[in-house]
Amino acid sequence: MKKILTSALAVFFALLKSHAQSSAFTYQGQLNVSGTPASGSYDLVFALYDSASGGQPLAGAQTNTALVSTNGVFTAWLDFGEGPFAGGSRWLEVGTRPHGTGSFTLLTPRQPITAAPLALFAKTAGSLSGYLSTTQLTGMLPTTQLAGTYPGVLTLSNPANGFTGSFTGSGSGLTNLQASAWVKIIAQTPPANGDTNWFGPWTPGTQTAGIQEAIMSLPRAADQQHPGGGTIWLMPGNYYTYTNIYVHNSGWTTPFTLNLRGAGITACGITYAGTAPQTVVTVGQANTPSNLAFSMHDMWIASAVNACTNILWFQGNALN
Amino acid sequence: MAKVDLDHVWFGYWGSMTNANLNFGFSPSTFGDTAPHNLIPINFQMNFNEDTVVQHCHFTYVNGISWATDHGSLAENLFEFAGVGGAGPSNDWPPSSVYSLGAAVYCVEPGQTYNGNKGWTIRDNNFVSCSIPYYASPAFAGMVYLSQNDTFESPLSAPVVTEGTRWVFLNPRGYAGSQSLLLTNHSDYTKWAVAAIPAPTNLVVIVDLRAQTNSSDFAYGGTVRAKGFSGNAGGLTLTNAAGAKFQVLVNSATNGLIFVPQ
Repeated sequence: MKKILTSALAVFFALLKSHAQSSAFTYQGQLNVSGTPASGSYDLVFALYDSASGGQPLAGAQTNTALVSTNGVFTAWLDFGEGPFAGGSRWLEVGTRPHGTGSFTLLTPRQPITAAPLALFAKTAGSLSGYLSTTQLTGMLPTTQLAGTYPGVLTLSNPANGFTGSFTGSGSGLTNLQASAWVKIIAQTPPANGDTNWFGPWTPGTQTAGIQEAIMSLPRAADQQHPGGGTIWLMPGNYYTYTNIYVHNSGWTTPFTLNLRGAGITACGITYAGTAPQTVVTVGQANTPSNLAFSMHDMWIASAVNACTNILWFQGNALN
Repeated sequence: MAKVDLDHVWFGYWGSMTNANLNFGFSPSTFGDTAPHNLIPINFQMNFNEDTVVQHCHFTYVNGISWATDHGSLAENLFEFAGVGGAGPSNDWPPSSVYSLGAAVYCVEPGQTYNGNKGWTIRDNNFVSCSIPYYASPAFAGMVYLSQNDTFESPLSAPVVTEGTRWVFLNPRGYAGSQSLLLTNHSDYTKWAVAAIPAPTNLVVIVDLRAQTNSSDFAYGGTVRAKGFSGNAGGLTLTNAAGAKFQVLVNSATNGLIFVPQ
């Protein structure tokens, strides 16, 4: 019987294929017969163990038949699946025989499976099993990793979740808004010149008796007003604080209308926030003809300063 | 100004509207209100206007509307503690200002000869604890203010304080007597309460069809047909077709009438 020995040389290569990565790899070795590199066809059988001797195979045996050996060098293609490679030490048991002849002769010792140098990087994912589950995520993700667009559905069910920053987009899907959060005039018919920000920016104020105030800065000079008129709706639960409101149309020849409409006299209104005696709303100008029409419906209007002044003041031509 | 339309608007000052008492409307302070009623809720200084409408509005703990407009309607409003209210707070307006009166409605169209362009509807307004519901401006020749179906809930002092323009109340309810007050001291509007209108006078007329009483004389140019007549005939003077006047006396013995040529 021929003495068959294999060398200790064993090199593993992960298979590079164009399709998705599989668990197969190649195994190369040199087969010697009686100390001389073998030639011809041989069958080789491979089994995977978790120890250098004894025990039960973890996977295999896999038989590679009719390997053509040149100068004893052979290459076998093995695939034990991903299961056996969970991080523990592994040994490969090899058996061989001339192609199709007799039984396999087991070669000793078993060959340890060692890491390829570049594969050592995988040790940093030693606790990762399969896909990374959300329970394995800890720490704070750098903000740079959160940039971009997230197309999936996102649910934040913890009431403690907060949001800081500006929000852009459609608010049509917002529901269950609290009255304390309603701090803006929700709709207005823009003036004829198309200025949709006619009444200027606003900032949330404080709450008084459960009513949220919105502080709005209005243009002071008559020339800063815009002709065309329109309707302003005030949302329930709010009042709007102004230093004063002037609705003038001096010199305008076209009719001008301004309608202030609230959602209920007990729900929304206007108040004056100044400190000096001042009229809350002044409409028209003294001794000045105009085509100005003004209406106010379903709201309240008050002055925060109980001084000798007006709340609503309408002015027109000289009286006769 | 062309037009003003105020409907369902509540006027007040902020301090009175945000107290903790929820019993009265939008939580105004109730009878404990002692702050001066300074704020003029609406100041109309309009002319050539098409219309000025104030209806279904509520005025609480403020001074009064200042009303100067050619055409307007003031209807179905509630004035509660407006002007000088029931709790008695005054205001900080100087005595020389008409607003120091503390009325709920100041009709301040300036006096002049009536030029036909005044059209006012004043009706169905409720005054709760308003000492002076109406103020009328100085003599406005040819013009008269008419208010219908108003309710005056006590305490109050008079339905109107006038400086000379006539005021007719048609079917007022709840007014305290028939007294109205003529303002004679124009340099100090706080002295309105000491100058009652001497009766009889046509300056302030109260016609109450429900109570069937009238407060003042009437000049009637038509024919009066009545089933009966009661009253003091001693003051009755008749004129025949020729223009001769007869005084009617009552015979105290027979209760018969004696016609005495004049």
